[in-house]
Order: sequence, then structure tokens, then C-alpha cells
Amino acid sequence: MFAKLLKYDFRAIGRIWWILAVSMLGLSTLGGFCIRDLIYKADAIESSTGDGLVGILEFAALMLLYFAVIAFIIVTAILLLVRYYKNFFTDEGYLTFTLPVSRTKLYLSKLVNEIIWNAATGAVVILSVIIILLIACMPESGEPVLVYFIKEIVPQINSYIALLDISAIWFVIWILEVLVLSFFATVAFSVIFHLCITVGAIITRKAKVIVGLALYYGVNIVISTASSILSFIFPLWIGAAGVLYSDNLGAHPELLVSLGLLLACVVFALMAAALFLINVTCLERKLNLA
Amino acid sequence: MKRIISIVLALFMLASLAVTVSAQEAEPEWSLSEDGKTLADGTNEYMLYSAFSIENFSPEEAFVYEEAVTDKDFVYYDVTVPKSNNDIICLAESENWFYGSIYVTVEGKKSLDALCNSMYGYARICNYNVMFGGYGDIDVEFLMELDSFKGEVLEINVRELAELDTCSVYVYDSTDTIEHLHGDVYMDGDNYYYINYDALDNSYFDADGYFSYRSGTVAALKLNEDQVAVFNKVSSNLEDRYTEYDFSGSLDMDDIFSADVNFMNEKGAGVFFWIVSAIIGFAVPLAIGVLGIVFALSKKPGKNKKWLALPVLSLLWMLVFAAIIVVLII
Repeated sequence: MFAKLLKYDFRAIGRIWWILAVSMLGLSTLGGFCIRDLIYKADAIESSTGDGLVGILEFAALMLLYFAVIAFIIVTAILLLVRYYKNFFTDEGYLTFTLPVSRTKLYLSKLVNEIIWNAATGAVVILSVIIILLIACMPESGEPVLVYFIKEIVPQINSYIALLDISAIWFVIWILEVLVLSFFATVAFSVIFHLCITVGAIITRKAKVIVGLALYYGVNIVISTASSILSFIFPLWIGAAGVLYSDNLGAHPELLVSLGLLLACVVFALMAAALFLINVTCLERKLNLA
Repeated sequence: MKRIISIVLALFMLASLAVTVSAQEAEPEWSLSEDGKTLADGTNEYMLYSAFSIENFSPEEAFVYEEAVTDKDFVYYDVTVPKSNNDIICLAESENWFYGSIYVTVEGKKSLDALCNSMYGYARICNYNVMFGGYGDIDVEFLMELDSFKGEVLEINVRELAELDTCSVYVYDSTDTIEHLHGDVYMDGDNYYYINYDALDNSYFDADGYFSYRSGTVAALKLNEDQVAVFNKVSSNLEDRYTEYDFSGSLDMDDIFSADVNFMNEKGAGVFFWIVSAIIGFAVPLAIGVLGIVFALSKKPGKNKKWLALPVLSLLWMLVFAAIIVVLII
């Protein structure tokens, strides 16, 4: 049953999302050629009006690409939130909640759906950047792009990593921890959105969306304030640790960074779990669509 | 409606009362005379002292009054006052600190006149040829001994000197504000040669006032073994010397993290560290875990066991934080 819930959510979003993704990749290809032309054939832009016009059009295409990336991310987020809202808090909700599935699973399917589409959106954006780089950096020598990339770009990336002066194992551990942290942070912020919509729908019947938005701004202010306080206290705490335990701070920096990232993962996981449970409790006990 | 208005007004009043009004010291009002030779701050009067330029201004800490005064051409100037004294200050163009002048009170003038008459307050060598270069203090009496040129005095071709490493000798006035390059020690292997620039006439210097290595010879004192040992000893214990500036009108974020902030001495750091660790590392996750257990044991209908995820994650939080503390302590 859970798989079926996911399937229908997938279809509902995928219908529109794939059009956006293909447009994104198409614009990236165009953008890559525009950048290549602007960088490597700058001489073609000078003198004649025709050449100047090509430059202006290329620049306009790049601006369009920039806004397209932002629009792609925002539209995907809106599609997912609208899907959540319509499925639970409009007339559709009457049917949704008659399904032989617990509200926990109903909500979980929405959350999993959102995580997957957010990941897909991120992957498309990264792929777009790679396409732009590969086209813009395409060697004039005519050798295959991937070979050129491996020969020229990868050593440069390695040299930047070498500046960190850490072993490969720690680097891999840190990357994994950052990915896990990003996952839990994304889930936590998605659940915050959902909770605001849920509470908005519970509080009022007429202006659910507006109340939900207002709640989100309120939550945002609270989060920003908490972040400001933490970003003030945390460096002082590190400074105090430096005063007390400067030798140990310098002796195991990689382990401390790793434990710090792990702690951040746990904190975001706890935040996501708590908000998830609160949201499910609201859906189970407080929601009244009548 | 009335209730809403009264609540809003009450909140507004509460907010107003909660705002702390910090009483700041009134900033001095700086004024510059039309001829640019006198500067006043409302209390003291400062005279232009032309013998030294802004390049010589070198206190350890100073406060900068930004755009404190303008001249008749409406050019803005910053006034820099050393924190250790206000007898010798510096006026510099706000947009370009290369253009600036030294101003002094009567006391400041006495101190700088003494410096010009070889009555030094402090002397230091500056050696960047050693690892962790910087400045080191030397006795003024030791410097006087070198200046007396008692010992082996040689005439050295200046072109040979140009190839050698140097260790500069600086002198300072009694307020330790003005720095003046007094001479150099040229190091040729184990042979150290001291030249006192203040004892030379203008023919030894170029148009910019720097010692010229173009041609000619100069009298240099060859340091004896004891004198070389003093230089080497001081060179092995150098410290950076640079002026720390505080600027008016802006919060200097460095001050918040400065080791000089009172609560960051070891005792304060210990108290702060353990309080924050206790709150963030243990109290907060403990509270969340307890809440999770309360909800899990709630008698309300529904699957409450899922709330046990909170105490599990809270425990993990405390364990990871404890691991961080252990790594720091051991």
C-alpha cells in the first residue's frame, strides 16, 4: 500500500517535473555554448553590430539560465507543498483519509516523495553545472572532453584537497557525514514546512494557506534567532576549549571535526524526528476537515 | 478591539523598557586650524611636529576617530590616539593614510625633542632574517656603547653592504609612540658591522631619505664577540610588533573573541566551557528525551511507542557530546 501511495505521488509530481528538468538541461547546454563563445571567441563580439548583438543574446541566455535554475528549485518545492496541502487539507483529504492506511504512513509517503524529488532536483542542477563546465571547457585540441577533464581538472581538485592536509580516509568520512547531515537537514526543513501547513489548517478553515505562511515566517524568525545565538556562543565555546585544552585541540583536529559533524547529524535527525511526530500527532488527533 | 490595542501597547512598552540604553563616553570634537598646524580636541591643543612623519607612528595600541575632522578643502581626516598616552597623535587622510602628520602636546614635544637629541626611551632590533622574525628589546645603554664606535672601525664599500642581510636598530621616544630607524647591523657570516645612520650626513642618503648603496664608503663598527652574542640572543627571542587599532563607530568583532576579554582567562574559560557544555550537551537532549518518554507512556489512544525515537536520539546526542569532551580532556 505504501508503494502505491508513493507511485501516485510520483506521477502527480513527475508529470510537470520532467518538463522542467528537460528544459533545465537544454538551457544548460545552451548556456555552456554561450559561455564558451563569450570566453574563447571574444573577438567575434567586437566591431560589427551583428557580432555585438550575438553577445547580447548570449548574455541574455545566461541570465535566463540563472533564473531558470532558481525557478526550477522553487517550482519543484511549490509543487510538492501544493501536493501535500491539496491531498490532506482540501476536499481530496476526505478521500485520502478514508484509505486503509495509517496517517503516519500517509504522511511518510509524502515525506519520502518530497525527499526523492528534492534529491532528483539537486541531481539535475549538479548535472546542469557539469554540462556547462564540460561544454565551456571543451578543449580546442579536439580530444574527448572526459579525458581532458581527467587530465586537467582532477589534478587541480586534488591539489585543493591536499591543502587541507588531511588523510584520504578522514576526507571520505567527512564527505559522508556532510551528505548525511544535508539529508537530515533537508528532511527537517521539509517537515517544518509541512507542520506549518498542518497547524494552519487546524487553526483556521478559511485562510489555511495564509495562516500557514505566517506561521512559517514566525518559525523562520525563531530559527534565525536561535542560529544567531548559537553562532555567537559556539565560537566562544571553541575559544574557551582552546584556552583550556589547546594541546588536545591541536592533537586530534580531524577526529574533533568528525565528531562535530556527527553531532550535527544527530541534532538534525532529532529535530526531524520530533517535528515528524508532532505533525503526525496533529494529523491523527487535531485535524478536522468537516 | 480595546483588548488588542492594550496588549499591543503593553508589548511595545515592555520592548522599550527592555532596551538597554548604554551611556557612551562623549567623543572629543576635533578641529583643525586653517594652516593645518594646530589640532584641538576640545580639551588639548596639539602642534604639528614635522621632524617625524606618519611612517614613524608606531604605538602598540591606538584608537582611531574616523573622519573626525576636515580641512578647508573638505578633505576628511582620521585622528589616531595611542591608548598609552595622548601627547603624541597622528592625523591622516581618511582615504589614504600615506598622507598624514604627527601632532604633539607640550609634553609630547619634549619627548620627541629628546628623541631627536639622542635621548632614547626604548631601543629595539628588528630581524626578519631568522625564523619567526620580529622585534626584540635591547638596552639603550648597549646602543649608546655601539654609537660611541669604540672598537674596530672599518671603511666599507656600500656596494658590498647591499648584498648582506641586515638587522635594523630602531629607537623610540619615552612614550613608545614614535619609531625611528637609527641604524643597521650588516651580517656577513660571523662578522657583524654596525652603521649609525644618525651620525651620517645627507650625502649618504638618497632623495627619499634611505641609505644609498650606489657608491662610496662608510664607517662601520665591527661588533666584538660579546656584542654579537647580545644580538644573537635578542634575535632568538623576537616578537611581532604591530599597532592594534580600534575604530570609532563600529563594533570590533575581534574584541568579542579576544583573549584579553575578561571571561576568557583560564578560570572564566573553564566556567563558560562547562556551563555551555552542560546545557547544550546534556540538559537540552535530556529534556527532549524526557518529553519523548512522557509522550510514549501517555495513556491517550494511538501508537505512542514511536515517541521513543526521541529519547534514543537524545541519548545518542549525549554520547557523541561526551565523546567530544573526552577527546578534548584526554
